[in-house]
Amino acid sequence: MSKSRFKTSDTSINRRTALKYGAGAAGAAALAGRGWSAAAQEATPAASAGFDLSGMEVSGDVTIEYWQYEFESKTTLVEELITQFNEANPGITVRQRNFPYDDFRQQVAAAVQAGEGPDVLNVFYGWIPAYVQQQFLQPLSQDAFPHDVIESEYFPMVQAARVGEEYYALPTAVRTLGLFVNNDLLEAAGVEPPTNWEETVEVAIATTQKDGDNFEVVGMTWDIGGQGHHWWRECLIRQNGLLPYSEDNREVFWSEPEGVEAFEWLAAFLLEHEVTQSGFQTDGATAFQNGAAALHVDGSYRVGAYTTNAPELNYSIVPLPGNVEQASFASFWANTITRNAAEGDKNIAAHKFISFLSSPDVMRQWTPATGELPALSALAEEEQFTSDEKLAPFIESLPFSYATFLVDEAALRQDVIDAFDQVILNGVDAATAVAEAEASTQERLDEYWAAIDEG
Amino acid sequence: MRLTLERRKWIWAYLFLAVPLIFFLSIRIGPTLFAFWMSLHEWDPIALDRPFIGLENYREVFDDEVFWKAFRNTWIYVVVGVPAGLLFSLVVALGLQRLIRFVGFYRVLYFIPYITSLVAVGWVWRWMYTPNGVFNDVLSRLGLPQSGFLGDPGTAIYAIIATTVWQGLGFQIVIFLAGLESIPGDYLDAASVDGASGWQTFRDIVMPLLNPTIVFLVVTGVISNLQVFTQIRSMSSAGTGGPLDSTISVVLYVYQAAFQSLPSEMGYAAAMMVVLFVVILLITVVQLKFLSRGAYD
Repeated sequence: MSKSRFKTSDTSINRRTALKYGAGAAGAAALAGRGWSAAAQEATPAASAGFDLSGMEVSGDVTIEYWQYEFESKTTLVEELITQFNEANPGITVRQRNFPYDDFRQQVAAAVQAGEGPDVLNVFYGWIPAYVQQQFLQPLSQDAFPHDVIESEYFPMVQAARVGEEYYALPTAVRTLGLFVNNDLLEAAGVEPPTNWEETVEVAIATTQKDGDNFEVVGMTWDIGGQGHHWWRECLIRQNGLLPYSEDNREVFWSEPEGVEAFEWLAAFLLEHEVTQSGFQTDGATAFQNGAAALHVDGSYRVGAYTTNAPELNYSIVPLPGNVEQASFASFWANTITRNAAEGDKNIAAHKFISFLSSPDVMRQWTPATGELPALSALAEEEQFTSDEKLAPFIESLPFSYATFLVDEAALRQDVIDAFDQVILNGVDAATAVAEAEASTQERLDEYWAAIDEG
Repeated sequence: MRLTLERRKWIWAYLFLAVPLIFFLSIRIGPTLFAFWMSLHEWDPIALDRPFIGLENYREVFDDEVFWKAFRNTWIYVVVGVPAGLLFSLVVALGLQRLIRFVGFYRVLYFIPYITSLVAVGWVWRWMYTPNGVFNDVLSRLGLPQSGFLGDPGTAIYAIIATTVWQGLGFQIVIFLAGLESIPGDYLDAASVDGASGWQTFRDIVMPLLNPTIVFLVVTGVISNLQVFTQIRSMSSAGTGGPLDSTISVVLYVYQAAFQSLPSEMGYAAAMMVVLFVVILLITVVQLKFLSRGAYD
């Protein structure tokens, strides 16, 4: 199907707006010449101590603006953190601004168009590739944040903040997917939480309750538009022994037999085992919250919502059941430097603030306040994180969690939703639907990389 | 130069008129013209340059399968939604007009959905359409097969239209009631004296005299159905006009291009909006020309 959800068919148009990739790298090199080299020598990879930016100082008073979306636990914490940062860094003032999540990107776009906007911007990692293409983000200085330190001390999913040869962002915290298990329903059915694919199917079948044709309890939630698309694309495919993408994120491999098999395994819950239903209680998270679903795949951020909305819900969390491999999906919000702070004191102040936000001290405050998981691997072993029975399974999943390289979040999600709809509603066979989704996503990737490479 | 009193009055009049005029020009006309300009560019608000690409965006619109699907759907929203709304509201209005007691109560009852938030209405209806929802419950009690409603590409768009019709009923009823009240009682009395049946009275007296009301409701109904957005966003599967683009409207598609796609395809969205604008303009002109024929004679 050659449908076009905003694909510019003529790549030559994109070239004009594409990142002048070489220019970006040259900019970073130029930075190194401006008082950064001293820092480079001191940037020894101390064990999870983050980065040493003591060699760079601002030349006078400077104010930078930090933007993140409105989320009370995060904005309140950042206010406190800013006070801590300002005390430690006299001369630098950080001002925080917040916008509702739903129009956060519009606000950013409007401000940038008006010649204003943030110096340090907290972005969803999946927006980074596009922002890089738009030349909106500055690469992080390699002297301040050496790549070998990032790659050895942070969990692997942080590499999704890398485009080409540069890192554009560092997170404070990350989130992963896990399997939410309703303890009461499993106990009633006399089954244990599943640890592999086979058991997952068994548990889903055992826990399903029907009244005639009507489901009263679904064994497994069905929510491709929620987390289901991540579950297949990044978790099930890997668990089945296939890499969904090439290492450089240029090629999609879903239509290999392992990918199709993973797709069929998931679709079978609906089509073959009949243990779930599309649209049951509107969506998966709601069905699980109402105690009407035994198994549900969701992110660590859902724990907070359940604590508030369903304090009585008796559930636990286990890592996603694996097959030949274990794998989970990870995502994160990360701090970036925009082109507003491309040089001078603003750039130095921005680097210092990002370094601060990614420090172990901040992470230790962040996780209890927000429920997000620390991004540094050394921290995840600390007792305060491993002792929390709701957080522990997510933390356990961090070493094998991967963040999909998202060139256009909404469009890539739609590709997967459409593939499942084709199979379920139109009876298309899985191999064809997967091949179509792969072709569509591949086209988007090709277009993206053409813009980056030829820009 | 001394101004005459007459002249001063003119100046003051224009001065006062200027305020709404400037507001209208800068808030309505200005952005509309700007959208035309944007549609000729590859317009990404964040990018450093926004190159002029002539009619390229329009060429792409015409090649875009999803746009035409959205266009066809939008047409269904209008062609099914508008007559259904008119029919139901006229029937209810005729009934309400005959009521003697509790008239105000019933009017409030029918008007409440109209002042309820579209998103809230969408979500409540979404629950009613779920596999275990009230509609499927009724179907199974009647011994009829269950329906996928929003989950089935064949029925999803009609499920959304039903909600839109229900929601707009209150407004249309009130307008119809006003139209009915304005029909002079003398005509109806004369007809009944002449021995006209109820149907004859309705067909030959009520309907022709309601024509201006109907024209107004058709025009506003068509415009609002051409712009349907919120219901689809809050009711369709994953909120993206699914399943398989069966409920997507042009406005929703425009929204996705402008605000959800990365990088933003503002220019492309503007081009689609211009196409929709031209279509709405043409339809409205045609409607006013033909439907109102004789209405104001």
